[in-house]
Amino acid sequence: MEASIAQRGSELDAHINQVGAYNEAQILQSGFGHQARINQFGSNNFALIEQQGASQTALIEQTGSDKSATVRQSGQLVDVLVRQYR
Amino acid sequence: MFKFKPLVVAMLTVGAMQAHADANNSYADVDQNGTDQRATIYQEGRAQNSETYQEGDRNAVTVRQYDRGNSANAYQNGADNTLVSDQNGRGNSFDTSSVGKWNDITIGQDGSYNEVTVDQANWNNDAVVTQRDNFNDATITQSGYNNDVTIDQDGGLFTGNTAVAEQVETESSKAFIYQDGTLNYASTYQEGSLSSATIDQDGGANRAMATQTGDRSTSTITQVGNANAGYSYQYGTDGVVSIYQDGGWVGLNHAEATQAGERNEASINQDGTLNRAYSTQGGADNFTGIDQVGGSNLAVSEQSGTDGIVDIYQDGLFNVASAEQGGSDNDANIVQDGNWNVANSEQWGDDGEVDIDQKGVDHLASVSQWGDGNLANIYQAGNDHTALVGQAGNDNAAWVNQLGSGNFASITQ
Repeated sequence: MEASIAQRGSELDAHINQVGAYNEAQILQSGFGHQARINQFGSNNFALIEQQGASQTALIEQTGSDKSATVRQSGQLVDVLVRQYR
Repeated sequence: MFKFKPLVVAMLTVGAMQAHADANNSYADVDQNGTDQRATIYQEGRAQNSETYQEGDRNAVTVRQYDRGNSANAYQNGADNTLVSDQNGRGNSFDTSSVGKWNDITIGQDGSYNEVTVDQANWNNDAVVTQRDNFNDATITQSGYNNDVTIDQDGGLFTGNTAVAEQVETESSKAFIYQDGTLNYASTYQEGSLSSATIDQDGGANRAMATQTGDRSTSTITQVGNANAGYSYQYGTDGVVSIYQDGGWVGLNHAEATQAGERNEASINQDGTLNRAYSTQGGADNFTGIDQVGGSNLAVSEQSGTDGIVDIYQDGLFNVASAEQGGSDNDANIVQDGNWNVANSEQWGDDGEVDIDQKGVDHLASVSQWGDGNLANIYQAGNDHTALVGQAGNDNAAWVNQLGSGNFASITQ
């Protein structure tokens, strides 16, 4: 399963929730005040969040094996939280 | 920070498939470019890896990893940055480097066979590493002035931890290493003036080494326990070296201070028996003080240069003190309380002075002086003492005062 969200503007929220194996999710945001969230429950997951601009927040939560989380942010007052559980 | 709004603009939910819960092989990569950034990584399980890269000022990284075989890397470039890491488990590693000023790094590891490597460049930086359990390694390297390093390692009976702190191209930097347990190794290397090194080890068979290159530096090694070894090396002027060793009844400790330069001071204090203290100084106006309480101890001081002073005090039985000085205007003072002690002093040069004071029974005092205008003064109280003075040169003087019976004195000029 693959999911992808691309957003441009201000104060936009994106949330991808995946349950199952072999999943892939990515969120691309540019602008101001965005929030991105990816939840993956399963094995062999991949999550990517890219944010450009100020006041961005990103959250990735993963459970399962072979988890991979990548966050790239540029700007001021940005915040990222990655949680990977057993 | 993570208060997501109730209204979700875009949300995708993919149906359930196989939801395995495996603990291994996770990877987190965070790359941030800007100011006032915060990255938090939390990982549970084995063989996990995280990489964090931050470019800018006032950034913060927090990494928490639980279980074994995990690794974390972090890089920060900018000022006012902070990094906090906790790893709980065995076989974990943390590797971080920062470039910039006023950066703080705090790393904690709880478990055995863990490793920490910290590299900081620029000034006013702090690095604190705390490790609990056995066979851990911590290496911190800092370049720039006014930086601080603290390594605290606490293990059990057979600890085997290693702590290394290196501060180069520095001034006014400080290094602190605290180790609790046995078979530990601590090393500080500082290249710059006004440096300070403190090593505290509590336990047996530990080894401490402090090396300083630069003026007005100080190093203090404190070791409590048996069979410890402390080494301190200073190259520069106006330095101070202090080594304290407390071994209880059987010490078997070894202390060694080496200084090259002028106006340096070395102080060695040992409690217990079977201890060894060595001080070597090269240069003018140096001072060595050795204080040993206990029996079967050895104190050796060697000075080359002018206007040096050696003070040795021993309290106990079967102790040996030796002071050798090459140069003019040197003074050696040896005081021994107890029985069956030996004091020996040799001076090469002019206008030197040796004073030996022994109380108890069956002591031996020996003074040899080569040069002009030297003075030897031996005082012995008690019985069965021997005093030997040999002087070669002109305008020398020798005094031997013995109070008691069965004493022997010989002066050869």
